[in-house]
Amino acid sequence: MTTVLADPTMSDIYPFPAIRATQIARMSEQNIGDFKLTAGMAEQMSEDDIGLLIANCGSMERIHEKLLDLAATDYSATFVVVMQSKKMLAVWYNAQARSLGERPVPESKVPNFWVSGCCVFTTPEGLSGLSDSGQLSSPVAGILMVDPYLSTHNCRVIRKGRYTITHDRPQFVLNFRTDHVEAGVLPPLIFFAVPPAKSLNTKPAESVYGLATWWYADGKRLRVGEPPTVS
Amino acid sequence: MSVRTVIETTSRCIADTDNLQVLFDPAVEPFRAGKFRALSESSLCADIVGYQSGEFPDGLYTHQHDAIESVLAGNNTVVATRTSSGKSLIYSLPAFHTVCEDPDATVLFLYPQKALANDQLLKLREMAAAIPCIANLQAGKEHFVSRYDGSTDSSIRPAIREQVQLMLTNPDMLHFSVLQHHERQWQRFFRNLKLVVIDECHEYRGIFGTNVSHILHRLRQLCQRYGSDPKFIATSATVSDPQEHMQQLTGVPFTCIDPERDGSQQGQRKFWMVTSPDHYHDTGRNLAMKLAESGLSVLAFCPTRVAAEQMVSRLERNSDKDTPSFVRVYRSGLSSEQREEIECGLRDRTVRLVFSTSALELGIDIGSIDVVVCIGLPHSMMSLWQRAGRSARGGREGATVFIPAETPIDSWYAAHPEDLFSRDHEPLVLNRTNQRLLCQHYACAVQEVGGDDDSMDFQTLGNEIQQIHDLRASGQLDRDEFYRAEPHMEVSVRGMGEGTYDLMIGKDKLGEIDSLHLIREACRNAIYRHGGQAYRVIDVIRGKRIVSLRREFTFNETRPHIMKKIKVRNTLKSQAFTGVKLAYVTLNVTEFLNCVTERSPHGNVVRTWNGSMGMPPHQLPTEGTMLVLRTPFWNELKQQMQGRPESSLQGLERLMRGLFPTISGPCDTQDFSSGTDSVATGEMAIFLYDAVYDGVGLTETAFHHMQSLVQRAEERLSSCSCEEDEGCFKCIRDPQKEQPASKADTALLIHAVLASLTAEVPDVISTGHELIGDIRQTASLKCERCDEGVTATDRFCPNCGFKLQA
Repeated sequence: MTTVLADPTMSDIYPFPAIRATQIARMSEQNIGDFKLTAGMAEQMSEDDIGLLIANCGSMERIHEKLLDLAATDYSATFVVVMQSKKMLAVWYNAQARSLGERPVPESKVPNFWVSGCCVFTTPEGLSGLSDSGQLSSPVAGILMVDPYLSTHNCRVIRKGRYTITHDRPQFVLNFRTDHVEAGVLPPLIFFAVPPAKSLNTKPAESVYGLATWWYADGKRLRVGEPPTVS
Repeated sequence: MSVRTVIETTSRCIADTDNLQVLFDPAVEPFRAGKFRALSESSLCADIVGYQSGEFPDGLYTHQHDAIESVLAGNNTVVATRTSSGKSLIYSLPAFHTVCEDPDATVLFLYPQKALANDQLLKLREMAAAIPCIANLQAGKEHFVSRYDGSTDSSIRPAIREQVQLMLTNPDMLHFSVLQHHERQWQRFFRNLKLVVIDECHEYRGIFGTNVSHILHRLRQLCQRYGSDPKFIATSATVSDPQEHMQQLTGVPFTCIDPERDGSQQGQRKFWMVTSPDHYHDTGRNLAMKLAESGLSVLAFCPTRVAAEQMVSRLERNSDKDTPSFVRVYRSGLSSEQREEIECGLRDRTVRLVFSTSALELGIDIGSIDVVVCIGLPHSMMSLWQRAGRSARGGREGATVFIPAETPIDSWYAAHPEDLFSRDHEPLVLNRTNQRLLCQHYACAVQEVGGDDDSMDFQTLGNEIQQIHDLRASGQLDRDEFYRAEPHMEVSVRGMGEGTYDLMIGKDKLGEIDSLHLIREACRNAIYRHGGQAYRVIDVIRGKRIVSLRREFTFNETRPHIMKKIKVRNTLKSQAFTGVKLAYVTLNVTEFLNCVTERSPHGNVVRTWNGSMGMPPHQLPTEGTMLVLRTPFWNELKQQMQGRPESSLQGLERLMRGLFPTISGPCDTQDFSSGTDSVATGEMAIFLYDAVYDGVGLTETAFHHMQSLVQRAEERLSSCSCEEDEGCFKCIRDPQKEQPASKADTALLIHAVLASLTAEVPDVISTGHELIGDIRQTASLKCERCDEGVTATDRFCPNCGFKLQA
């Protein structure tokens, strides 16, 4: 008997808001509400082409810590964490390896992507391989770009002597996003940056990633994982 | 092609084409001999008469003679005779006569396109060399007759400014360079300016025409200051009231030489209207190819740039041979070298079939075409005769074949083909009360007179500029435009809004594309066709205004799905019925890319890219008529409908848009558009708006004749022969919409709207002085969420990302 799996509904992909933050205005940094990654929020971000920039995270270590907490969450869907560089990926891979009692490996031996709980860690170049690998066993709930100074979008072209090689890193992300539409909704694009939003050049990134606008959240008030139940 | 074979060959090709039905087959228009006036009757100087005797032994046509005499008598003159009637001689001979009489005299030739100026430059130089007194003057001056536009090399510009007496330019250069820097660079030219020639003056309409009108008024202000009083000579296609148009354009009265006085020789001409069960693109393409393979030279006008490119790509796809070398695509966006190659090819007949947009309607010299094929009917009389006038020139035989499109308006004319020729000529619309343009040109005019508002010549500049001055003086008007250091740079003369993007392959520029067409044709990942070749759009770099392309060999096609958001800014007048409300409003239309679909030649979807992919939205502030369905009225109707209620709105919108020219008079279908959206109150509305920046009042007709428009929509729907409830492209079915329409629901809606419009005649409420209304509207807007300042055109607050409401 063949079992036909029903398309996941949005509520299956987002059973609870695993990413929560305080939403702020970019310049004044005033508190203007709460951001919770729910099904409705994901739909709105997809429909209106809105990206979330969680800035003012303070440090890379803090971002790493939060994403490890997210990875440890019991969640039905997958978050794809896209690191800015292979080097950064290697640092995080080895940090996790050490925490598991394993030996660190050289950068060249770091896999293009690896799974840790409900998160998959990779780089923009690893995304197409990730799609083809079959390792994504559940829908993509969000693409989390770890881009400390919001600069990944600047890499569109590499020049080597007389030759120009087009190496469009943001396009890898956009293609991956398009390939993982669920129920007509694009997975939300969420960026993590170290400095405050008002010190980052957000306009160029907005157009390169195909966004109509940004929402801004305060990284110092970021919460991940299952929300606490209020008794 | 020998005499009397063009019409016979065309007739044979039509008869031999399978399934081609002839809808209209009037008699051949006979050859008409020219009517001449002897040269001895002319007031032109002896040298010019001597030159003419050699070139035109029969003399001048009667209308040429009359026009030249009018100009020489000191009258501003507009000539509106038909195509190929020798209009360029009417202005070139008086220009040379003027310089013969006064060796220091200067003449300004204004052309709407650089290509036209190019065309005329060589002819003027040849004439100058052939007329003895001019040749003597020209001997010491290399730039005696010269072009001065954006393509002129900057190294020779100082020499041109010093020497030129007959200067060919365009409104953009006149505005940005000549008027702006008159004091430092152009004093001699203005002091001696005797004639201003405005060629193809019918092109100056809409926002472009409004800008040119202000520019010409400013030109006259400067001439007054330099003590010159040039006369104007204008040439026009056949339009309604060219005299009134030129008076609005320049501010001076004109004498008109109208079509009834046309004495030119006209060749035999034949018209047909044909149709077939195939798609009209396929019908047109196949017929044009058949005619060209018979040895005729063919110009096929296509409805859009994309259609013109697809004609060639589908020729390649449907044939196992390469596309013949005599086939080309011609449209704006090609480089000047590409256009010149095609124009030369048409003249020497190495190019025999050109698929073109309306770009070739203008009088660029392409020789005489044997057959014109109109794939989709021209929707203005001006366009019809411009196109038909490309054949049967200079006494030669010519033919024109019309192929109706599958649209409501073309279906109407296919059923009533005689109506196509019996329409009135359309008026040319200008809007000199457009507040934004007035303020911009006011600032330019102030700077041109040295910065003192009070020394402006309001009698020359016009009442509208006077009003701006009075509002400023009373403190009611204070806009950023008045404080710019370089006000001339703020004016977008052609009204294209954000300007153009360069199409680049690596470092090579392929052509240009404007922001309106950017999201439609050259969005990221789209397959863009240019000159018959296919390219993939790799990137759109907004900051540098570059579209990066890569050559791709594919027969696939991409289609963008564009969403539209309409936000009402201000209501200028309204009329409240029981079920509906009618209003004429200023509004902002934002078009943004929703997704792009790539399809194989068999129609299978190959790939889809969702989202805007970083493409900038196209924003259009404009004016339009709004038909609002009140909530109780709409709720009651929705309960009676079988299908999706929104589809009935879209069906009515399509019919209104398609049939609008039947109430407005012939107009270019590119000049208006439509949409359906909810207004601030949440009620649904259908909009008909001007598709030009800031609007020109074209769709105001819909406000005054909405009942008539809806009645015609009802007639079209009820008389359509399609049987299915989804309708067809000739009535309510929209090829751009995925969801089907419903004839029954649309008919229900139309009937209810018509009943509401006819039951009563409420008063029209105006909001007062239009100039003041919009000024007050532009008071500061703030985001509700973070209180940051936003503009009326923002969709989202740039500070917090909050979605802004109407």
